[in-house]
Amino acid sequence: MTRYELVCVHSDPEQLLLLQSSLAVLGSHFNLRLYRDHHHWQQAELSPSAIALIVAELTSSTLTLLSQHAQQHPETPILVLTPSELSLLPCLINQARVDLVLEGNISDTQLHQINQLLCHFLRQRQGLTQELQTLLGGTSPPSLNPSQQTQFLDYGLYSDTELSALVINTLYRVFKENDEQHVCRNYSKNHLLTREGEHNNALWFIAKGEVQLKKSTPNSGEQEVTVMRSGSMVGGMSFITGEPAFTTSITLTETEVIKLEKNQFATLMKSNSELLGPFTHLLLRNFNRRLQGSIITKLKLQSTLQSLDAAHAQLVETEKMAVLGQLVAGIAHELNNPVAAILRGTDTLKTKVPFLLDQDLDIKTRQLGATTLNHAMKITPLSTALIRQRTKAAIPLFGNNALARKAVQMELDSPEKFHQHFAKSNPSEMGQSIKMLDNYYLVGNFLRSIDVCAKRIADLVKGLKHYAGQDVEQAVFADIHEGIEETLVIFENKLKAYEVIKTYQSIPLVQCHPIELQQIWTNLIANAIDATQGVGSIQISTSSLVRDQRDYICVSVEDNGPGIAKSKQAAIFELNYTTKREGNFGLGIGLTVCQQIIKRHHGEITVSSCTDEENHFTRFDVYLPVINPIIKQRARAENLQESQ
Amino acid sequence: MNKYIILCVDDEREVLDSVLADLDGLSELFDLEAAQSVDEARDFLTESQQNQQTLALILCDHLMPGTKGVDFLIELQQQGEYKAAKKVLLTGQAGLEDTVEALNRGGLDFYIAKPWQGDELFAHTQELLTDYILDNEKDLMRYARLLDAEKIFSAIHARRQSISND
Amino acid sequence: MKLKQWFPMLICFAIPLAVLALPSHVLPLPDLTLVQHRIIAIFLLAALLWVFEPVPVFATSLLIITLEVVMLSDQGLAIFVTQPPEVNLGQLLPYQDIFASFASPIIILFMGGFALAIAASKYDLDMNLARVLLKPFGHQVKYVMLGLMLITAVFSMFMSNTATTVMMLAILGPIIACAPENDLGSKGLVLAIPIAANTGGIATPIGTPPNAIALQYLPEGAVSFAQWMMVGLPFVCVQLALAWFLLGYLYPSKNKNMELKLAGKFLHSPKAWVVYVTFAMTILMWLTTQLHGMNAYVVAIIPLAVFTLTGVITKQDLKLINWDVLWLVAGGIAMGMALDKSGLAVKLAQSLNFADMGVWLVIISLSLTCYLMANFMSNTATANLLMPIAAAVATTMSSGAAGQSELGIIPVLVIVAFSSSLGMILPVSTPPNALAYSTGFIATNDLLKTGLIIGTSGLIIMYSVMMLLV
Repeated sequence: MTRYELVCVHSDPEQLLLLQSSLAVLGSHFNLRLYRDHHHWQQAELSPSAIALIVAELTSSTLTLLSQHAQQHPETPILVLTPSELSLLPCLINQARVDLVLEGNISDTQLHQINQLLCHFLRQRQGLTQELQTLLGGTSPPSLNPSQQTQFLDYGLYSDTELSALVINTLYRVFKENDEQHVCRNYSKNHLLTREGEHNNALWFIAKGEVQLKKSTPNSGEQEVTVMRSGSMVGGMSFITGEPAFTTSITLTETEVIKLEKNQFATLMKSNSELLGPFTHLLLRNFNRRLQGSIITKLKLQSTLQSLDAAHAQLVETEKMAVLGQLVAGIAHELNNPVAAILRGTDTLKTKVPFLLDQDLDIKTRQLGATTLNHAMKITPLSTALIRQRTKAAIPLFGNNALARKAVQMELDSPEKFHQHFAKSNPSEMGQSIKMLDNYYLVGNFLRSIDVCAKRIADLVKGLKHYAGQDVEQAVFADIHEGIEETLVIFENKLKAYEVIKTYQSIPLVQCHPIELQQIWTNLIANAIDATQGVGSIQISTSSLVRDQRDYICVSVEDNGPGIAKSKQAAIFELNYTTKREGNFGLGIGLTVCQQIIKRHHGEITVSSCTDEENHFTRFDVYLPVINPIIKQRARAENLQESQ
Repeated sequence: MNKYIILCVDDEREVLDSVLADLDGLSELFDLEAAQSVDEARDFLTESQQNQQTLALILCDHLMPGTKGVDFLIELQQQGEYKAAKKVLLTGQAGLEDTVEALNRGGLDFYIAKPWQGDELFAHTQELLTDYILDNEKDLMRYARLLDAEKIFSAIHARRQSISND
Repeated sequence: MKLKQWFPMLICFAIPLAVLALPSHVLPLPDLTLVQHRIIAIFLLAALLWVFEPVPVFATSLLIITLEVVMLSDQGLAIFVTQPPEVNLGQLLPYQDIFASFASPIIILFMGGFALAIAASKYDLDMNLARVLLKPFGHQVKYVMLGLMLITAVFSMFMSNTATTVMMLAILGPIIACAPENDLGSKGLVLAIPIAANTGGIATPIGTPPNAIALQYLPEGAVSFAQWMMVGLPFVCVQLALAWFLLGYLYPSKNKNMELKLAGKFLHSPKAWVVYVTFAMTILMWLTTQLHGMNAYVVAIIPLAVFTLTGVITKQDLKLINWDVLWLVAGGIAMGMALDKSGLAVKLAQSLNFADMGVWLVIISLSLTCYLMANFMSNTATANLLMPIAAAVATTMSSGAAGQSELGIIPVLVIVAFSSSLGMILPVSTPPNALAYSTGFIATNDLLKTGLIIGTSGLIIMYSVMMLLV
C-alpha cells in the first residue's frame, strides 16, 4: 500500500517545528516532510500523486508551486498559514484552491478538519483503510496486545500516545496479579509528587488525571511550567540522573499513577526484559519532546524580544502615519465603488455605441430605442425587489425570465405597452427586438450611472480639498453643518453598518478656521467608529447656547460603544494615550490635536461616558464661540510637530 | 423559468447594474437575479425555493449595510441546500481577516477585486458554473453552449455509457 | 396538477379493464377463448402505456410479463386458471415459456453488443478509432461532415445509437461552441450526427432493437447477420449520401474550413489489446456464420465471457448494461409469444382478411403505421407492438391464399423494422435526436425538415426496390 506524504513548507524553522509537533499524531501512518523552502521540496522529487496534504507558507514562489500542483492533482488538500497580507490569498483561491487557513499552532478543531480533509482525499484515492479511518476519526488508538510488540520491534512506528499506552498497559498487566508493593496508586487532588530542589527516588506514570509542574520564580512566586496528562511520565529526569528535582509536581485532579521506586524499577527491568525497549524509547521520546518544547519557547522568546524592540520603534512612527493612512485608505475605499462602476460603464458603452450606430433599423424601432435611452438616462432605476415582482407578473406575456426582466427595466411590461409594441410580432421577433432595445436601455442607464458616480467622486474630492488646503489667515464665518457633512462623505463606506442619527438645530455661521475644525470632526467620528468596532449607532447633534453672556454653539458626537471608565477619562487627552490596536486611528495624537485646535478657537471639549451594561455610551461635546475674531493660525504640520 | 439561479448582491445600484450587464450572456440558461441587500437576497432565496429553483452561484459584495457579505456566505454555507452553490466575493473592501473567514467557514470559491474587467468576470463565472453543473446536473448537453464546452463535452463523453438508451 | 398527472394513467388502465369486462362473444372475433380475450386486454394496455408513456417504457414491458404469468399461465392465480362453466378457457401458456423471454437469444445478442460497447468505451477504443478515421477527411467542412456521418453510421451499427451520438457530439461540440452564433454550417454538422446514428442502426441486426425483434419472428436461420447487412448496408449508404447532399444544400457553411481536435492515443495495456482483438474477432465471426456454423446469437456470448474472464468488464461495469432496453425487448417478446401461442395472431390476421386487401396495400399500410408511430414513441416499443401483427399477417398471406405468396414473410418484417428506424422528425422520436436537440444548437424545425425528407426518401426507396424485385 502507498504510504502518503504530508508536506510542510515554511521558511521559519520554528513554525516548522510547531507544525511537526501538531501533526506528529499522524506520523505513524504518513511521512511527514518538512521543507525550508520550495527548492528543497522540488529537489526531494516526491511523487506528486503520493502527496496527501500540503501545508505551506504563502509566498509568491510557493504560490506558483501550489497552483501547479493543484492543476495536476486537484484533490490534494491545500492548507496555508495565515499570511501577513491579503494580496496573495485571493491569487491562491483563484489559481488553485485553499481548504483551510491555519493559525500558527493548530487548534483541535482545525486538526479535526485536517483529518476530515485527509479522509476525503484517501476516499477519493480509495486508500482509506479501516486503520487510517480509526486514526483520522479521532477514536481511541488501536489496542495493543503483547503479540503486536514482537511484530513492531521498531518503536518509531508508534505515535507518542500509542507508545505510552503500551508501556502503561504492560505495567498494569505485570502488577495486576502481584501488586504487593502497592505500585498502582490513586492520588487525590493536591497530592505532591516531587518537590523542587529535593531528591527524588521514584518515577510516576500517569494513567489517568492531571499533574501540574511548577517552578518557583526569582520574586518568590510560582509559575506553572506545564500540565502532564495521562500517558506522560513525571520525575523521569531526577530519577535517572539523581539530581535534585527541577520542578514541583502536584496533582490537579484525582489521579491514577504507577509509582516505581528505584529498587522496584531495577527488579522490574530484570524480570520483564520485553519492557526495556519500549520504556527506553518512551523515556527518550519524553526528553526529546521537552527539549523540543524548550527550544521552541526559546526561539519564540527571542523573536518576541526582537519584535518588541521593533514594535516600540515603530509605534512612534506608526502613530504619526496612522491618521494619514486611515484617511487615505478610507478614501480609496470610497472611490473604489464609483470608479468600478464608471469603468464598467465606459467599457460597455465602448462596444454598445458603435454596435447601435452600425445597425440598420427601421424608423419605428429607432424611435422607440431613442425613447428608451432617454428614459433610462433620466429616471432612477426601479428597486431590484420591484423589478423582480414585476418580472414575475410579466413572464406570461414575454415567455421567459430574461426577456421579462429586460422589458420591466425598460418599463415596457404593462399589457398596454406590450400590445402597442410587441403584440403583432411572433415570439422570436419579439425576443430580437427586446434585445435590441435593451442595448439602448443599457447605454442610457450607463450614462446615467456614470453621471451619478462621477458626481459622487466630485463630492468626495471637494471634501478632500478642504483637508489639503490651507485656511486663510483670517478666521471666516463658516457653516458648521457643511463641514460635518463633508466629513461624513469620507466615512460613508465605514458608516454603512451604522445607524447615523443627525439632529441639527439651526445654528448661526461660526467664525473659525473651517479646515482645522474638520480635523476635529474627522477625529471624533473615527474614534466613534473604532470604539464601536464597526457596528452600532452614532448620534451627531448641534445646538446653540449662551455661555458667559456669549453666543456659543455645541457639536456632540455620541457613540454606543462600551464607554470609557471614569478613571481613564482624564487620560484620553494626554499625548500617546491609546486604547486601540496598532494601525488604527491614533487616539493619542487625535484627541490631543483636537484639544489644541479647540483651545485656539477659545472653545472647550468635554467627554462624558458611561460603562453600564444597559446604557453605555461615550459622548464628546465641542463648544465653540460664534464670534471669535482672534484665532492663532497654525499649519497642521506644525501641530503634529508640537504634539510630539 | 430556468432551473438554476445566479444571484448578485451589492448595495450600490450602479455596481449591481454593471455586474448584471456583464453576465447577461448567461441569462438564457440561468435566471439572473439581483438584490440590493442581504435581507432582500434572503427573502428571494426562500421564495425561489418554493419555485423549485436552485442557487448555482452567488456573487456578493462584502461591505453593505446590515449583514456583511462574508457573513452571508458563511450563513449560506451552513445551510445544506446552498452548500453546493459557488460563492464569489466581488469587493474592494474585504480585509485579510474577512477573507480568511470566508475561506475557512464560507466555502469561498473565487475572489474578484473591484474594479474588475467585464470579460474576466464573465470567464470566471463561466468556469465556476461549469464546475457546478458538472457536479450537480445530469443533463449536461444543454449547458455546453454557454459554458466551457470542451470541459462539458469531455464529461459527457466520460459518462456516455450510463446515458440511457433506447 | 395531481389529477392531470393521473389522468393518462387512469385512461390507459380503464379502457383495457372495460374490454376485459365485456363478455367474449361481444368482441368481433369468432370462437374467442377466454385466454385470447385476456391477451387482447393486455395488448391494449401495453399499446396505450407505450403510446402515452405515463410510466417508463421498460416498466410497461415488465407489467406485460407479470400480467401474463398471473392471468395466462398454467401457474397463474387460481381464478384465472380454473375452467369457468359454459365458456371456453382455451389453452393456458406454460409459465416457463413466458419467463424465457428474459433469456431469449436476441437478449443475449444485445448483451453481447453492450459488452463490446462498454469495453470499447472503457478503453477509449471508440473515441480513438473515430479520431483516426476522421483524419483522412481533411479540414473542408463538407468533407468533415461526410466523415462524421460515415463514422457515426458505422459505429452505430455495432454500438448503441445513443452512445455513438454522445461520443460524436463530444468530438464536434467544442468546435461548434466556438463558432459564431446562427452559423447555418454548425447547425448542419450537429444535425448530421443524429441522422447518421439513426440511419446507421438499420444496417445490422444489433444496430437497433427493432431489427433484432424482426429477427425474433423469422424462422430460425432464415436471415444471417451477413445477409441482413447485405440488404441494410446499401440502403444505409444511399440514405446517408442523400442526407449529406441535403444538409450541404440546406445548411451551407460560411467558413470553408474547420479543424477538429483529433489528437488521441491508443492504449497499449494487455487489457486494451484484449478489447481490440475481441472486438475485431466478434464482428468477423458475426459476418462469417457459414464458415464456422455459429449463428449471431451464439457468437454474441463469446465477448461477454472473454471480457468478464479477463477483468475488462468488472462488477461495476456490468451495471452499465442498459437493462431497461433488455427488459423493453423482453416484454415485446413475451407479448408476441402470447399472441402466437394462443393462436390469437392467426385468428386476428384471418378475420381482418388481409389476403383480400392486396399485398401492397397491406405492406404499405403496415410500414406507414410503423413509421408514424415511431416518430412519436419509442422505436423499440413500436416494433414490439407491430412486429407480431406483421408476422401473423405475413404468415397468413404466404400460407393462405395461394398465388399471392411470391412475397415471403422476410421482406415484410424487414420493411417494418426499417420503417421504425426512419421515424426521426421530432426531438422525442429517438434518443440521438433528443441529445442533439438538447445541445441548443438546433431547433425543432431543423429536425422536422430534414427528418421528414429523409424518412420519406427511405420509404420511397424501400417501396421501389420491393416493386423491382417482384
